[in-house]
Amino acid sequence: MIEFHNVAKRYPNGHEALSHVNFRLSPGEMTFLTGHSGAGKSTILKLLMVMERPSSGQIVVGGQDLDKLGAARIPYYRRNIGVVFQDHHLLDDYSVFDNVALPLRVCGYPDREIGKRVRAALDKVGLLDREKYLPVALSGGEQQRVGIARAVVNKPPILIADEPTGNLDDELSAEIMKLFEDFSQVGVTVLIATHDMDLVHRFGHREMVLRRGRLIRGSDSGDSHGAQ
Amino acid sequence: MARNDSDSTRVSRGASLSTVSWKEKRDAWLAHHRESARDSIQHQLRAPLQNLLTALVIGITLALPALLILGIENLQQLGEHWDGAPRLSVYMERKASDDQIRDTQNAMRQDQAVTSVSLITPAQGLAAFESTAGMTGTMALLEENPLPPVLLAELQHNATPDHMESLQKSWQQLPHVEHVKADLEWIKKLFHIMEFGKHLTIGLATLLGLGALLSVGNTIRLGIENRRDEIVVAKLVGATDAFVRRPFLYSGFCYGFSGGMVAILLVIGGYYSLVGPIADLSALFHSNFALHCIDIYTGINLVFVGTVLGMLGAWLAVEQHLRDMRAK
Repeated sequence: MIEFHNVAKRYPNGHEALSHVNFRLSPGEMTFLTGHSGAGKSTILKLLMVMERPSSGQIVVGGQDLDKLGAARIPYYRRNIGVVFQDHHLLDDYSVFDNVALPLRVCGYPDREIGKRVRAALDKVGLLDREKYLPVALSGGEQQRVGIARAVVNKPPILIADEPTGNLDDELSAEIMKLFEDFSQVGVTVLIATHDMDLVHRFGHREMVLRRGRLIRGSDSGDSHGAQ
Repeated sequence: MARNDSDSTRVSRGASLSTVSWKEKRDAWLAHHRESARDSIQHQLRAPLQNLLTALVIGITLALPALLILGIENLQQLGEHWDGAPRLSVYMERKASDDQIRDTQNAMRQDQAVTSVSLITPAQGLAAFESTAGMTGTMALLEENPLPPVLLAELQHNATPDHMESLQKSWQQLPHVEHVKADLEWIKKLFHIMEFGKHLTIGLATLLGLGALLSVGNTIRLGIENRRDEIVVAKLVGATDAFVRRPFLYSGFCYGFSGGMVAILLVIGGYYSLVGPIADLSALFHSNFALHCIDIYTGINLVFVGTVLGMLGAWLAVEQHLRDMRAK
């Protein structure tokens, strides 16, 4: 589903964020991406979102070579990827419902379809009764779940998360991880960047470890299933 | 990417877009247009002072060149009606015979631009001179009439100063013609002032238009700043540039449209403040000159140009922002 072939990213200031990164994620696979801050986790996620382009190497997602993806087609490509952010990026002046509905509005879904899908997504994360609330009225864990509902509302085949449990306590983090596992079990490819090693060890999925822009572990599916 | 959906959960994948018909997508697209239009109007109403100022800037920008153009059109009208058509006076030799005068008259009529050639005999000339100059009696002191016969040629309204000058030169060569005099100087001046005014207007309109563009762009940029997070998130979940642009284009449209309306009000206001004094002035000169106001077409043009400026300014501001967000 996701393939990185010898990917490198060098910034104009000379900083080499990634070099020789190779990996392949199968459909339905749930993978942790770990490493210290600055190791290149966010860069990999940005490359996947085509917020940045690699300096060299090839990235193929769902059979689409991202290098051949023109600027005009990037929006349509992104609709296949749900993203969850550490600071959840919810819009403060939109209700929970409208926050979750945004990806559907962007895709041009009709209202009746939006209502149906938003409620299904909110139900999945257990927040169906909160749809009229503003994000500030929710707890940190609830906000993150709204972020997840937004990421999955248009049923993307890929879900990526950048430190989704960064601000949450252990119990809430486990809850969130459980949600991601549910999605991966129905075939969604899930990639989670995190530095919460306890969590990674507890859930025991495949782990890819980055150090100074290089993958030092977990670079291929058959390789290992993380650090048990 | 498509795999079998699992019925046990609500999350599935694959071609979910295909369940939405073309008609529904079009309806959603129209709905977003409606929503963007409504939102931008609400935004305008929420910050009335800011929006009024922007509309005023556009209005003044449009009103100034419009007033200049109106002024030039009125001046042109003034030029046309000052004393009818442009004229050339041909002074014959005093001893020229009636036949010779008639020959000259016929020769002058050959030119296309000449509408009529009338003769003022020395006697008529003297009578006119005595009556206007208030010199009754003085002329009687002269032993004989000193005035020559004069042929007065009236030209078409659109005769250019250049053409008049060439006529003047060629008529000077005709036999028994003493001197050809044209009221060239003031016509020439008026013509050139008019040309200058037109160029000035175009230059001024361009500069002011640029100013309006920048000020709309700046206002829209503030709007973009306020909705920065929204744009970032929308782009990340797959919003097209057009989707992001749409609400701002509507805002630009609102600014431009209200700016055009303000411009019309300013021009009409300017007209009513000038029409009285000009009528008085014109009466003093026994002229039937009257100030013309803008017509409906100029009004529509003003609103149209304002709207285009507003939308273009919005487009440029959003485009700049989107360019900054693009993948490198």
